[in-house]
Amino acid sequence: MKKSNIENGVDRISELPDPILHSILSRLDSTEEVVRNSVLSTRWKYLWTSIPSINLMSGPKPFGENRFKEFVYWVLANRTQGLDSFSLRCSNHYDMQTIGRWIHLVVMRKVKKLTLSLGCGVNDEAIVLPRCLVDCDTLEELLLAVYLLSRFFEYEKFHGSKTLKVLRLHNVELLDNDLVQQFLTNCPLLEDLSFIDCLTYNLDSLVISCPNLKTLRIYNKGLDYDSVIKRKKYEEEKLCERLTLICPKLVSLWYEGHMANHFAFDVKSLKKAMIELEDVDE
Amino acid sequence: MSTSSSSSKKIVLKSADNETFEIDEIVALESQAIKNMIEDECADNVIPLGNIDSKTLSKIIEYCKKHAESPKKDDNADIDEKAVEDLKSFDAEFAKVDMPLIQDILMAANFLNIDNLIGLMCRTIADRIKGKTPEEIRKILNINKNDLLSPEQEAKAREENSWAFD
Repeated sequence: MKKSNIENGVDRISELPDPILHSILSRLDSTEEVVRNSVLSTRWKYLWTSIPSINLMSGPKPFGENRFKEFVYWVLANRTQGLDSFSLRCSNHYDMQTIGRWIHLVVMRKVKKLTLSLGCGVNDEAIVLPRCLVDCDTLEELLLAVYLLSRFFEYEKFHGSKTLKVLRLHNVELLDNDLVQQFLTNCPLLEDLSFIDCLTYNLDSLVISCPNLKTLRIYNKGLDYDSVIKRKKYEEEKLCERLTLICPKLVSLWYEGHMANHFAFDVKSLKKAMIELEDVDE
Repeated sequence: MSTSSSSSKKIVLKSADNETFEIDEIVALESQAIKNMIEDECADNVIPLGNIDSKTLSKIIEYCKKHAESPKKDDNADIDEKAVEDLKSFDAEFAKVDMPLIQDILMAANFLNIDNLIGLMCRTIADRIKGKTPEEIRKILNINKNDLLSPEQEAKAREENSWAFD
């Protein structure tokens, strides 16, 4: 009576609906790998063209710079469906204009989660996220990492997002407290904020004021401040003088390393805090 | 570790090979499809699952039991890290079965609408085909041989998407 395919070896996976097969494909490491599976069978041939998450990596080899550009345009422009997530990791240098165009395309595809790991900085060019992200009413999660120090809040083009819930910044320099504050004010739904190895030593004070923030992570542990300071020719001021948190709904706080000399916390709802301070002078 | 008590409501599931499984309602509620049936009051005493065999069904019940017993993630409650870890290692052990059974579980989880289990099975399948050649993947997934592309079609597909193949 058993109908299990254990005995009779039937191809059951191909009978599953597209969203399930998409869910398998989107867990592979890269979009190239997904595309390679188009030759598995006729069932799989066009599956990848409607995959809702795109994960592109210009590794050390596979794409020459121009081929990678063409590929990204092609992948993004080729489809009309909404995009749950778009992740781009490129270690090579791409100018901000190119990256800005890619971001325009993913905004048109109604992206929800955007991950950018950029290796900018060859010409010391700042990371400027385009204004279209402000009006993108689907964006919920933004992860931005840069390999070399760069700037993010220096410019006012991307000054906030009405829909953003999760923001993670890696290695981003925070240059102006007013702009940081203004940005956070313009993200009323923000619930989850992380600053990982973000530089603040150019600031007198940093105020994180978010009415709906539930989780805040500040990790500055792995950062080699001395080498950064040498490279950037900064002098004495290593740390931001005062960090102020005004987050009435904050539930979890992780603070590791060093970001400021003095603290002022207004966090009435806090239930869980992990704070580990390092001696900066050593 | 069972949360069952004599007073808790029971649900009976019947597999394709006519085996019956009596489980606590709370365990059955892990399935969105069964939950909907119960809420719409269209679930009889025995819910027949004509497309799920007993081996697959008992695995699914094992999964739902464990997940029903574990504390749920809640914004306002402290997330019990130990419980999360425990569930993770349960999932990892649970997925250590052969590919045909994984596919059966995935089909059944899709039918019963158990989101977490669908995700776990998709992840497991993806992990097993990662980095493999199309030939190897066809074997692992037991892709229907009557559905293969002709050599000409395959050559054309590789040519069209050559950027992904070299």
